[in-house]
Amino acid sequence: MRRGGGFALAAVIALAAPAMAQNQGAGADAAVTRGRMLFEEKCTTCHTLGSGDFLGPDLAGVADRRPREWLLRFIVEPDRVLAEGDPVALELLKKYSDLEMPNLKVTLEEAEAALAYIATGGAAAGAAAAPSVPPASAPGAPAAVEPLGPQWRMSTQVYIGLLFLAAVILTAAAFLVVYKGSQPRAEYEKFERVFDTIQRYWTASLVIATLLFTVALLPLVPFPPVRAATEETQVVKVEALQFGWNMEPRTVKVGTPVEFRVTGRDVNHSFGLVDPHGVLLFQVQAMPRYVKEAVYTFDEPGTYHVLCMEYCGLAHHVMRTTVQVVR
Amino acid sequence: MAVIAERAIATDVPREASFNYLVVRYWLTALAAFFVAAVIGLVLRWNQASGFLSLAWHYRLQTFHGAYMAWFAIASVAGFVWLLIRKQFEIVVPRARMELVYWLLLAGAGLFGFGVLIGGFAPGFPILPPLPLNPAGAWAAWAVNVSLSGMVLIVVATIAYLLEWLVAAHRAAGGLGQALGLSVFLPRGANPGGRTVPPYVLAVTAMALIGMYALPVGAYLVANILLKNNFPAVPLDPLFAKNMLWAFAHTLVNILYWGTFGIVYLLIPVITDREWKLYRLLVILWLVTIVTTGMTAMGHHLQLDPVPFSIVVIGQVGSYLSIMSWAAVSIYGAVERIWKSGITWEPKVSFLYFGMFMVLVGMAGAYLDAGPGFNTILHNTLWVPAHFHSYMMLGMALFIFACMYHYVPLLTRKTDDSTALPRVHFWMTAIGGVGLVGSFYLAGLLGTPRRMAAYPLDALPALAGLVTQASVPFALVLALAQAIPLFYLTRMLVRRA
Repeated sequence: MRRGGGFALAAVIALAAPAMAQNQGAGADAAVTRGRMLFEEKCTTCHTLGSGDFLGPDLAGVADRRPREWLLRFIVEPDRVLAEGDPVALELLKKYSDLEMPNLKVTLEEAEAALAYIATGGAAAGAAAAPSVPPASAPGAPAAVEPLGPQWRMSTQVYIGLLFLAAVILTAAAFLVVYKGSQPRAEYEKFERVFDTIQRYWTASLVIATLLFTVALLPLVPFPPVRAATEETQVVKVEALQFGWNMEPRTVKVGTPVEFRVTGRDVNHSFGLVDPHGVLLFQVQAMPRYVKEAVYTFDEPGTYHVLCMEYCGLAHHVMRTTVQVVR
Repeated sequence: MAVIAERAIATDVPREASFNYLVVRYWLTALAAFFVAAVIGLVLRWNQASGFLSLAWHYRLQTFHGAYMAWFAIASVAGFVWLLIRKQFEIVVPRARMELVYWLLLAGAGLFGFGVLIGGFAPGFPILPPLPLNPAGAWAAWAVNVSLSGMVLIVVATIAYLLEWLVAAHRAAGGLGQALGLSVFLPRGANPGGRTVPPYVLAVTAMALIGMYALPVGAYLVANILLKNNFPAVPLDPLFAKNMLWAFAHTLVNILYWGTFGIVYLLIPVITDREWKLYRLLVILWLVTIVTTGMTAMGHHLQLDPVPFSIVVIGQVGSYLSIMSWAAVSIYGAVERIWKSGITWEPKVSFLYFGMFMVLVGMAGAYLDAGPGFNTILHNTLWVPAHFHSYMMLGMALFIFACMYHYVPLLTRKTDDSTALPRVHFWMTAIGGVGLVGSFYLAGLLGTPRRMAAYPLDALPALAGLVTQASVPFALVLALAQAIPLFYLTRMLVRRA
């Protein structure tokens, strides 16, 4: 099984986004264009169009291999088709590592549009190409972001790293001093009182540090009540599911707070937002039956990656999408 | 009772060879599990760097790795507890009960492993519901039944040996209050016999006491998942289940660490020839640790969840307070005793000393992760395995190695004057471990998600990929090193006295 191709595909999709917008409303091609957008949004996590099998089968020519009615029903309600024991669906399940096709809440109309696009073999778009690059984690895989851009030097992660490094160096220095000072033996009573005094101050300083740290870190929390929606807030509804994202809208503006209302459909996921420089901005849990809000104000346009940060099943690592941030 | 008891316990083991060999059997089995899990850890890291495993096998092995590492700690601490009950309290636990716990642990591990390796059960460890029940077709319902039945056996066996300790401590120390060191608060002359227990009795009693809360919570959760797996109408709320999971799993790992720190409390006074008695500040901070670990420390797992904001703050403060006793008095007290002690730096001392250093490193990582402002960018990244590998793999496990290197020659009544193999074991573990854990910390800061078969490197800084690849040689050194104690102790068992 090839893995990681979905990552490269997501990058290709991101680059193709402006072109996709221009194609909208092109008369007879409208259904195909809509199908292409749907395909790229919901299908490319697992399928390619002409570049071979991925987590699921290559869908090039699938309209010739399967009856149209069967395809439409399987796209709309794959869970029920499988539950009914459909032999073709079961055979596919067995062939593709027992990864069940999830119910992506696709309507019949949307399924028809997707099939219309698939029938073009991807020619209408070209961009829905397939992962032809090596797996993202393989040596030599292309990185779409700079090694450590200017944004990185200013990120919270750097401050965390410095705090941690300081703690490790101080601890290591103390342990080295004691290691060197372990010889020769001296009477314990000589310095027992000094050690007791140090211990009291050390304990008190840890308690004070705890209180200060608790207060100091709270303003960084990305969700209510620390950050809450206002009247002008843009709302993005996010639903995580094995192994994709339903998100509406997918384009937001810089400078205005965005409230992400995140939930899950099947199991626990985590909505992690990564900026164009590769900095993880925040994450919140995507849990079935519950909604978690996170508020963030973008100050830079670009393509932001959404990663699932909570292990959710075998295709967890390809559960990705993007958010476009525009001026 | 303190230092005399420590000396006797640390240097004079029971004469009953069959009992001694039972303890050694617990430890050797645990070491075998550790070695297998370490090699699997290497395979996982290698796969993340170069991608040669199928997805199904990567996540199966990931589940196996976590579970068997936890099992290693459970089984090792069990051996230590049997030894302490016999030596500290001079109570003879019937052989059948110790054998039953051993075989329950073994059967549990076997069932869990069967469900994972044969049935494909791969929800990761610990098993965050409802994933075990919604595998997207990756594993069958029977695999869930088999693996979780194995977990139930392990939980029952752990409850059993912790109960044995509580009963023994209650009988021998004059009540659980005494075993928790509360006598230090009594006015002078009010303490019957004027005795206080040594700190390791407090540590192990605290472990057993909180285990009586955490383990039944775990048993309840596993039973709930099992029931829902077979009767879908059974309710299971994802948020409540997540609370239960961490109340069980996070607390279990914490208390096992307390048990292994009992080894430090026991061996440091003997090695340095300096007494370590209970005193009020130590007991107060221990009580804070017991309450916060038992009740609130797991709260930092919920900071990103749809919970009231008060829970977020309580989780943060509880997490901070739960590690206070370690940094403020326990490790401080051990290090203080080493100063000008004229100690001989033999391998078991190196394991203890370096283990304590790495526990503090892990705690610094935990401290940063437990603040909700930082948690939102560190949680679910490799920072999390970084911090728990620091104080488990390079802390807890090292204390266990020190315990084995100290006791196995005594228990088998065979000596090995050469310290070459334990020394090589120490240095390979330290170098490989620091390299691997260091790569986890850095990758975590770079936003690399944990528990992924392949990383989304096109979305992350390019350095993330280099860090993954650079860590593989360290993982190799670390994994190979774990064959050494297995070989060393097995050789000691089979050689002539």
